[in-house]
Amino acid sequence: MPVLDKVGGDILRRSIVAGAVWVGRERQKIDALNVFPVPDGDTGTNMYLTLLGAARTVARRRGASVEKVASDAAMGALLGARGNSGVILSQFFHGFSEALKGCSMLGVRELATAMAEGYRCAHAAVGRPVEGTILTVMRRAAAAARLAVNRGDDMETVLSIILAETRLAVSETPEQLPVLRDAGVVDAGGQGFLSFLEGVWSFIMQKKLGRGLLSAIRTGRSTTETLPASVEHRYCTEFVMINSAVDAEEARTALEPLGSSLLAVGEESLLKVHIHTDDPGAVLAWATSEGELEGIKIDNMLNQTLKRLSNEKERTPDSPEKQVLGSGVVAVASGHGLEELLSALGAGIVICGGQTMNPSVEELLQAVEELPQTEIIILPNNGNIVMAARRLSALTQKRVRVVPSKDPAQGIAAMLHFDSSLDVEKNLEAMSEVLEHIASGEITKAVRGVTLDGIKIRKGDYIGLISGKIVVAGRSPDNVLPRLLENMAAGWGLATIYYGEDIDATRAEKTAQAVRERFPEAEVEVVEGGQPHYHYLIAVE
Amino acid sequence: MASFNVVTDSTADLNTEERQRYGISVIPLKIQFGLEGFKDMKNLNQEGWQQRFLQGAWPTTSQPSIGDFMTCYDRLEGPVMSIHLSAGLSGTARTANAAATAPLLRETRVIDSAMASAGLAYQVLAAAEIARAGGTLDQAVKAVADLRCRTQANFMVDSLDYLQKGGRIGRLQTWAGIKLQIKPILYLENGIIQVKERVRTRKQALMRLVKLSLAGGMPEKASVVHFLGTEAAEEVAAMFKSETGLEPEIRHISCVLGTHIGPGAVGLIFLAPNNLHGA
Repeated sequence: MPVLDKVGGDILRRSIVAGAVWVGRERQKIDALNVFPVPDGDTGTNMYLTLLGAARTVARRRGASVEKVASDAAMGALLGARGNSGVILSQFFHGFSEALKGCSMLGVRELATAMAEGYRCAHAAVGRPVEGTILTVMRRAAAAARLAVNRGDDMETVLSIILAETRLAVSETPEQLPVLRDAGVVDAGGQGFLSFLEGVWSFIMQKKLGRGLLSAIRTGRSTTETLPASVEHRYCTEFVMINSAVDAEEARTALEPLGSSLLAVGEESLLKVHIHTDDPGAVLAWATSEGELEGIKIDNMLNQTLKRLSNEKERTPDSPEKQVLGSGVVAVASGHGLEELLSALGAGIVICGGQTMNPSVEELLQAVEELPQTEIIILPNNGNIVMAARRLSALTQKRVRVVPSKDPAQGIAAMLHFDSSLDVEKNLEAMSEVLEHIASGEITKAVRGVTLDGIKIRKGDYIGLISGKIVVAGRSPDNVLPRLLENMAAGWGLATIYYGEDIDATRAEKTAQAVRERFPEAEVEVVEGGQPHYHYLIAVE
Repeated sequence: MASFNVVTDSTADLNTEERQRYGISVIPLKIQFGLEGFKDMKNLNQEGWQQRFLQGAWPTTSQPSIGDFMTCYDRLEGPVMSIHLSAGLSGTARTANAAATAPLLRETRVIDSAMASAGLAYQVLAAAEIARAGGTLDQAVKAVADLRCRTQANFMVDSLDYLQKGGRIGRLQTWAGIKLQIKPILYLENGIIQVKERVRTRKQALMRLVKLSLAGGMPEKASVVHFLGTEAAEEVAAMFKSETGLEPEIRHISCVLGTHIGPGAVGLIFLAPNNLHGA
């Protein structure tokens, strides 16, 4: 077998696809590498979807140069980026492609330089880098590449050394980060990066990536399992139903199976529906059978976004009559109660997502562009979406500011101080200030047993978290709730309890009554959140 | 003998002593409970309103008729200054104007106060003071305009239902369907009720009223006004006093205004030290 010396555009392209597929196979294992025993592990899924963005873009580019493949992959990863690990990975691709400008064949020297630049960009994207994360793993991989190249190794040897060092780096993350050691896991982001390199390595060594895999990626079918819905749903479909035979709830039930990001608001006389679907025909067929339609709008979201980005330079601001003064809000939440509340408080678009399904940069961007205002506030309502939200400024001409809400309860509190007639800076100030005066907590079910901070948790226990830290555990969410509140800093006068989809109103009210008895001085309000995974979300102020 | 007459309406929330001291004519607005009609604050006070309201009747309100104004103006001798509830909330000032432009033998000035309750009272009492001191109508118009620019009215309502039913609130679209307990803080802007802030609890709201009154410096004058909210009004007055050392006056909001803001509404109306809209 001839020694592989330089890599052309086609091999690079197929390597990226192979890496993405590999992460796709491993993604559930990576998801499970969660520090906390809460059901929000999604690092593997997020990295896979980010890589899928890259792979889909390059899969179409047969015969492209190394430079073109790298820059296409970077753009695809950027648009597909989800979660913090996805954003970091997309920045790695960005740096990698920047270093390959003007490059037609990728040799070992170019590879080492590109990896170093990839690490530099990824590092720059993180506010406060911590050792023992994907960044450490990337740094060591890039350093190993440089070392091997300086020693004069050939491509295969360089790749094998990079892989070996990456494995070692991942296995050592628990020594660098105590939370990983305590939980007995390696860093999920680092593991995702390793899986990607393993996919690349296996393709280079075995050339196993056949035509079938490429076309599977191209058409959006995964070889291992079906993809999460929202990636596939490419048509944004909107319409208004007049004098419909169904109400918003019934419309949601009927349309739920047909797509994602579903919104149905209003009354029978005027019901507005928004859905991301692959089959706008089926959606409209159902709707026409239930009422009269108006304002039908179907957009191909993928093409739209790509077109918008490639036309960035020629783009003129929206026509004046479409522009609206003041600010608009894009919020992220899942659970119909939370979504409705955010809308009612003035959020122009509520993207369905959160704990287990982080929206991509592309979805956020789509929403930002869709709003008529040119000044947009983003409420990520999840710590893992904040970074993706912060990347938006660079992708749009609109003025975008992020109010870093960590959960929907914080987001709702911030929304109360949103004023659509003011600009983003004033809103940012007022809404951010609220976050300083509010504390929030959540109750969920432990997905595995573990002992953390001296609290012994059995699988199936209900755990109460404040600021992402477990403070109480117990056999029932209703008993955990008052104890969680006892752990909140004293001095609060109002607790708002948002009950999730697994709790009904009667039960929530009963639990609230127990809280009222325990805290007779305080006001306690119960609201239906309808959120998945979290039996209760609590905000105190 | 005053140099001109001062006329206002029942929404100025003047007390008997003030009316008698200056000889101010107060034209009542009207309120209807089913088939029973009342003259605001004349034969219906807050307690009477509550009693009928608790029996389940939903009141409706109306402005005085043009005839009410003409009868009043006719009875008076000498020039008249007629100062009324914000035209953004009621047609009272417009009707007064129509009555004043009917062929009359004396000079009559009708002023839209752009205010209500104590905010209207400030203007009425200032005009009456000038009349008693022998000042001219022009002097009074100028003084009242200065007060109008410096008066701020912030208030909290227990429920938005009353304002929504009466349709007397701007920018309300963002309120539909909110399933949270919210105590809105409202204010009068150019004579129209707008939402200033959305606060979660009554206690937070009452504290905000006091904070807002101090934001532009120490008020020259302050009034706590309420409609069936004595307890909350006393709390606000006590908080204001502990912050400033000044004892604010307390006024009862008239039944007509009360019908639109609902029982439990409390306001802090004050005169800022400087012109709010810049010199």
